[in-house]
Amino acid sequence: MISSDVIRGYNDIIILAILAEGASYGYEISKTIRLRSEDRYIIKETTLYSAFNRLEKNGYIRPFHHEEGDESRRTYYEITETGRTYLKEKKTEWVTTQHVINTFIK
Amino acid sequence: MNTIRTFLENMFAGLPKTADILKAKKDLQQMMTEKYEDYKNEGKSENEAIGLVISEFGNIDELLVELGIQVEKEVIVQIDDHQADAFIASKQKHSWRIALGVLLCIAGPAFLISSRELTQWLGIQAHQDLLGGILLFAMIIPAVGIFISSGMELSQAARFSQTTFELTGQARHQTELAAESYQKTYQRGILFGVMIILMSMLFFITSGFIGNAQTPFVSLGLLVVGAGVFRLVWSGLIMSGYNQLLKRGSHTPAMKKANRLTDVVASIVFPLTAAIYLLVSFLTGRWDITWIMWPVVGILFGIFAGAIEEIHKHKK
Repeated sequence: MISSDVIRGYNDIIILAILAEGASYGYEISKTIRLRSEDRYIIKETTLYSAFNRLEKNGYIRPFHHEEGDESRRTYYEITETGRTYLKEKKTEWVTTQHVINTFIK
Repeated sequence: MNTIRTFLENMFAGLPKTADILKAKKDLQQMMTEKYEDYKNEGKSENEAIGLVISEFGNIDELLVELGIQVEKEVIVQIDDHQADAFIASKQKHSWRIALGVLLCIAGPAFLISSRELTQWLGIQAHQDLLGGILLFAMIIPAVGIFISSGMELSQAARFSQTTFELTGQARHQTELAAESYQKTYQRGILFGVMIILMSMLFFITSGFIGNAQTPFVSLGLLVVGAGVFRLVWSGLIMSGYNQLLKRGSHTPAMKKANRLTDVVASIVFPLTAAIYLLVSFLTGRWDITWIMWPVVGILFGIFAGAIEEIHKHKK
């Protein structure tokens, strides 16, 4: 298990990276994170929802419903163009970060 | 399923029902329900699935921060043993000063009433009311000074009682012990005070029989009443300090409400009585009888305060 403190800064990027592969919804994203991390990272519901809220406010993702007017069903999210640009920047930053940290921790 | 809904109802209880909050609640319920179904499909038992979903919910505060909602949490002030000690010490220091102030307020008129006799006895050549008048003000002025300065210091020391406070274990234990050991002194003080006041009646009754040269007896009676009241106020204020800390007697949360009304009425009634007392006394010059206003107002106020307290007790 990964401590949520360490990964806090990366939740947004993880979610954006998943959405970059195609639109998805809350539980599916949560499950993808759990499966790909092989149960090492299970994102909390409140963390996930907070991230959706933040990303949407920044214009990186957009919520939509599959059936028009059916508000009771799950909310889907898709990545926006701004979101893709942001993700690209963050990817570069991550490579640098990784490199820097690696030079200290071996 | 219902467990999840109940869980969320509880987590969101007390939060404003804005569109953002309701949407968050709905989306969280959707996510949690799907997760629950999935765990069940993986072969987990109902209880296990619910347990996992709830343990993976996270922290509602995180969400509230993100949604920009500030939740006001009631601040409970902790009072430790040093603070409790300091408060009681302040009560002890000021209770006898306030009691002295009350005594001076009673003694002042006592001297005024017997001004003529006192002037003659001392052989002073002056207007018959001059000496008494000077003595009255010489006592009332420091008394007012005491009320103001001690009153301010005491209310400063009791600031914590305006908030929700709690004694630490150590402080509670210590205060309870101290209050218990003070109990005996307190009862003695009250008994003594009441006995002295009853004794003063002898002087008033005597003055009634004598007729002409009655005023010195009324004066002596008043001085004795003053001594009794001094004892009552002294003991009563210290005990009220313990009660305030331990939230007993008239300091339970329910009684606090009753006290507030009583306080408001007291802050009007007593200054008004003082004004009427002085006005009537100066206009009529009947200092020998006008003091009767005080016990009458005191008893009526006592009945009023008692009634308010009873009403609040029964409301609970």
